[in-house]
Amino acid sequence: MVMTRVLPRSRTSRLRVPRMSALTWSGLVLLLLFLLLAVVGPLVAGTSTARTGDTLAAPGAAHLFGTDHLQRDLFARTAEGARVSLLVAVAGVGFGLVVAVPAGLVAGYFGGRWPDDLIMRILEALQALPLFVFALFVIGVTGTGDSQIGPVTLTSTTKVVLLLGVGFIPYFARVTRSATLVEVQEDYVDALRVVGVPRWRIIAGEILVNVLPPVLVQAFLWIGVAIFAESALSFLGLGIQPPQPSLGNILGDATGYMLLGAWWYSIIPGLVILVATIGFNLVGDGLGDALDADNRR
Amino acid sequence: MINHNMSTFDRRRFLTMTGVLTAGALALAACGTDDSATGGAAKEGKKVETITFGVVSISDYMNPLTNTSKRVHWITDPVVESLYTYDASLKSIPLLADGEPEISDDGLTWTIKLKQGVTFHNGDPLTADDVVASLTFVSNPKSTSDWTTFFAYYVKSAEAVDKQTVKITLTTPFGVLRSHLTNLPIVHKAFVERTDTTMGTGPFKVDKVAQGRQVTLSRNDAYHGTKPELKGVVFEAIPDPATRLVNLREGKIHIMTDVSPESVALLKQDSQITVHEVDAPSDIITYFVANKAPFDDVKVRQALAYAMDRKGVRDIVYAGTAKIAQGPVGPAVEGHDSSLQIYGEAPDYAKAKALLAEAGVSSLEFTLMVTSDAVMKNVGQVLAEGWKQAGITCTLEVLDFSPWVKNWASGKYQMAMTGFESGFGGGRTAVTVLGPMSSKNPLNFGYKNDEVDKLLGEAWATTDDAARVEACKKINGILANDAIMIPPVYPRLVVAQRKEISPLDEKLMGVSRVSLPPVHSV
Amino acid sequence: MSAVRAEDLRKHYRIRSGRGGEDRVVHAVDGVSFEVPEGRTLAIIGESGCGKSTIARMLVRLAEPTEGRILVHGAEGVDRRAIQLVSQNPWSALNRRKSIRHALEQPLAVHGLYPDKAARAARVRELLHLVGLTDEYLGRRPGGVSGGELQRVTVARALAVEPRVLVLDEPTASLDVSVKALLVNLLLDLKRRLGLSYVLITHEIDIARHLADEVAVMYLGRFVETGDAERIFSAPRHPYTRALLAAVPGPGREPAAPLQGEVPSAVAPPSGCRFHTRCPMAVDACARTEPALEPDQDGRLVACLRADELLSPAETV
Repeated sequence: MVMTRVLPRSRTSRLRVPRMSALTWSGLVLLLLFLLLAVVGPLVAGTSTARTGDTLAAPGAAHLFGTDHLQRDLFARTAEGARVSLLVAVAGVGFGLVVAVPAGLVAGYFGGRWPDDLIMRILEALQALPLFVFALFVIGVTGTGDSQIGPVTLTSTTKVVLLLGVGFIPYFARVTRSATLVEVQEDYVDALRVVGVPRWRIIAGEILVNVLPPVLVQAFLWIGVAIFAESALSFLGLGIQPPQPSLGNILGDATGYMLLGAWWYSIIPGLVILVATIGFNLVGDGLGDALDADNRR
Repeated sequence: MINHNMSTFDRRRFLTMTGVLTAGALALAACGTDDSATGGAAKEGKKVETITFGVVSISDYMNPLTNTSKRVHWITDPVVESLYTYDASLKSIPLLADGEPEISDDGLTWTIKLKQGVTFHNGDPLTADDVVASLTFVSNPKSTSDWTTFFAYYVKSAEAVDKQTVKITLTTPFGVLRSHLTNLPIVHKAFVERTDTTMGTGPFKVDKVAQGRQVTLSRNDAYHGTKPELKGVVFEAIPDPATRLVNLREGKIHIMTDVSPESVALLKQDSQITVHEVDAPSDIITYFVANKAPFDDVKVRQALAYAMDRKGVRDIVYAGTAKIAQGPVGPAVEGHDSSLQIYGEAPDYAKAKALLAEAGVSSLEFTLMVTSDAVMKNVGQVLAEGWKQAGITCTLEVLDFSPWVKNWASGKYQMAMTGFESGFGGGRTAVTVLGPMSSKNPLNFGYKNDEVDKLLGEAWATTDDAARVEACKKINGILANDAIMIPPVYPRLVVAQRKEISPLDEKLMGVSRVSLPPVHSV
Repeated sequence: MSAVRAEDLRKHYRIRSGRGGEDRVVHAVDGVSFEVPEGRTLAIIGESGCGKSTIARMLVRLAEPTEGRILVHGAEGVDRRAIQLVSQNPWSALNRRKSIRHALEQPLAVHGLYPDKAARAARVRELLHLVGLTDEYLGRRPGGVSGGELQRVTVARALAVEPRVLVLDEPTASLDVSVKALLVNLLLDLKRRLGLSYVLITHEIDIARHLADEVAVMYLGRFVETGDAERIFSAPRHPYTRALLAAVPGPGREPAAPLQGEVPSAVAPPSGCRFHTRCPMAVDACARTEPALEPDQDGRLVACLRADELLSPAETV
């Protein structure tokens, strides 16, 4: 009834589900398969450490994925490994977000001024360090077992989570900063200053909620990367330690038995890693497209 | 509007880099022998003059007097010689020494005459000074050498009476010294402390050393004994067992050690390859810290021993190529008691639970520290799973060799296990396995048994081999009953070789030796 | 005591010269003084870019004056509860992801007003009713509300902390014609009921006419004419004021020809009288001498060398 002259940037704050491309659909299927394995698998599969009496049995009726060199059911191992890899990836991304989002918010809020400069310099330094090489170095120095830092004991799993998180901080911080730079142009940021809302509360209470969607889309995408990176570390023996399975260390054990004909032992965990990485990537891209479309409307 | 495409690019770069680095690391691990042009490829009818010997790893320190590990000794064994050596039936006969040693009546002085006309690879003659230098180095309690276990506090001094005679003064009668002198290499006195290379009197000399990666030996044409037919030997460090296997099958290497148990069956099927499986002093050494809970109570240790899944380890980890163990002394070591049968193949959960109840422990939880090689990791996992069935929670701590040794030496563990070839240091004696159980030994954290101390003293003092064997047998029984040293199995030494070269002497493998000098092309 | 008092305000922005030249200075506000008596409305009018929005920002302490000072009810410091802002674009001025209830509650929470939950909720409803909106707007988000109503919400938010002064920066510029009037009436009503004082920044002359008691005409960072609104609107003296008002269509009056030329850059204002480059009445002296605001016979202030000569047509009658 009443027409207004200024068009709002986004009339709704909900993410409307657009028509999804075939690529996004395939990604969704892959992702759901992986999640099914990682979430439901461990509940259904039985223990991943139990001995079944068959060494390196091929996939068949008795064992869906066959057995490994210590007679453990590979389906149970892979399911548990998928669960662990997923948890570690999410924890790593979570840790990265916890550090990166406040940094990005502060940098974006003070865009162009010294806090922004300082934070950007630190991010650049962090980004210059190739994460993977750094991870190899840290674990090479502190060893693969638990490390004692003052009163705190870091398990090997914790170290992997921290290393992954640290590696992701620059990327998450940049996305947050970009979104914040745009958001800060909105009048309400100044309006709330005039009302008397303290700066930190504007940043954390008002700006954050608007900036989160693109950041969370990024986080989702990077879970796939995290799974891949953790698998790579564990494959080299530097990540999750046995007997705790992870997709990477199962694969690492498996390569020694390729020559003995146990093809399923390597291919299956490798396939799961691939499915997870691709699934998260495609769905994340889809989410990102939906977000862009929503913003453009 | 956020350009998440920029981040897509970042992500792809990250993934690519991770993938590339992993692939690279894998390739590096796998490409062990690709850059070695030396070593003969086995070809039909071609005479093999230089052989390549693929090992798991080569120590960075090429000095046989610093330790008794196979990582040094497989390489230095053809290069250095001892005063005595093993004959085909594993009896100790003189090599650099001339005849048997002269032992004083009180047993405290040993006089040894040296063989004439023996020279080192650099032309220097072998003199008593060289023997004294080697002995002094390993007898110094402050030295970090493994050999101190055998010599320190027993050998008071060694001196050169004349150029060909050595006098050893002991603090106490020490009959097992005869065995030790069959194992201790005599190194040129100027090389006693050097770690980049070594100088001996053996049939081969050191040509080139690429630290930790490759060592090349060439024939010593001035050798005082029977000259070898081979012109040279190349030792190649190939950490990945699959690569070692492939290299052997393709003929890139002629001899392979540390054959992983599951590939034994596969190798046996290959008509070009012979697999030697020999009972050897190849142990899974097992330690407890006995002065702290939970293992300060013998009943707890015994419960663990009864609940141990030895069968699982033998069948799954070793694919049947190992023997069920009772005490620490295996079939290739003096004092082995094949009639000892305290613990069964399969775990006895009822007995274990009863023992724990007697000890007042409702639930047992502990950490087992193992080294990070594939075999020990598997042993650890199988044992942990077996104990879980008995309600015992075992957490595995997997460490690389150096951190493992550090924790072990300082007592920072509850239970520790690693694999070790003790034949280089101990020969057939049980010094390596039983020595740490003396209450005075700094590696012993809390175990004290007066009978064991007494028997150990007797075992090392006597010059009567049979008496020593008896004493060790008794000690083994006590330790097994006290469950203070309970390896799950006695692994066998598995060495695979190509048929283009003559068969290796299996008897000598019984003292961990892979004897190269007699090897020739067939 | 006056509600608002500005003394010789200046705001200069430094533009870093990227290419090795000297830094340039934008004289956004260049020596502005005014006083708003209690309960009265001062309208500051002018073209866009003249600096009036900068004055608004300084009044609500979003920007620090380079020189000069601002007193609100005699106090010089920052008192958020004394003076509040209503800005142009209501969709931008409210957080699109938060409800209207949140927008109204937040000022109360920040200043610790009505700590009791029930009392606070009641006060929020009261504010809503104050601007003529019903309770059903509480749960809604800005996206689903029309412009006029949303602007009322921003007024309600501004009033939440019980200020004495409101700065209204183009409050009706985004609204449709039919809705503008509603908002103006609301503002008049509120002023009367709550005893508020207004500083109204606008380029819409009609709106200024309805609301203002006093008016200040601004050009390139300076006031050129100030005084009683009715008098200035009916008989503008300064040539710029005349041009501004002549451009507004009125009953029986066609808009006059627009001013020639563009507003000069605020970095390097013209010499002499800033307006002389576009002034139809300019003479040579105008390029040399900068006129100050001089009182006129009827109490207004005019900054023009020829002020006495040029009587407005209405005055010559």
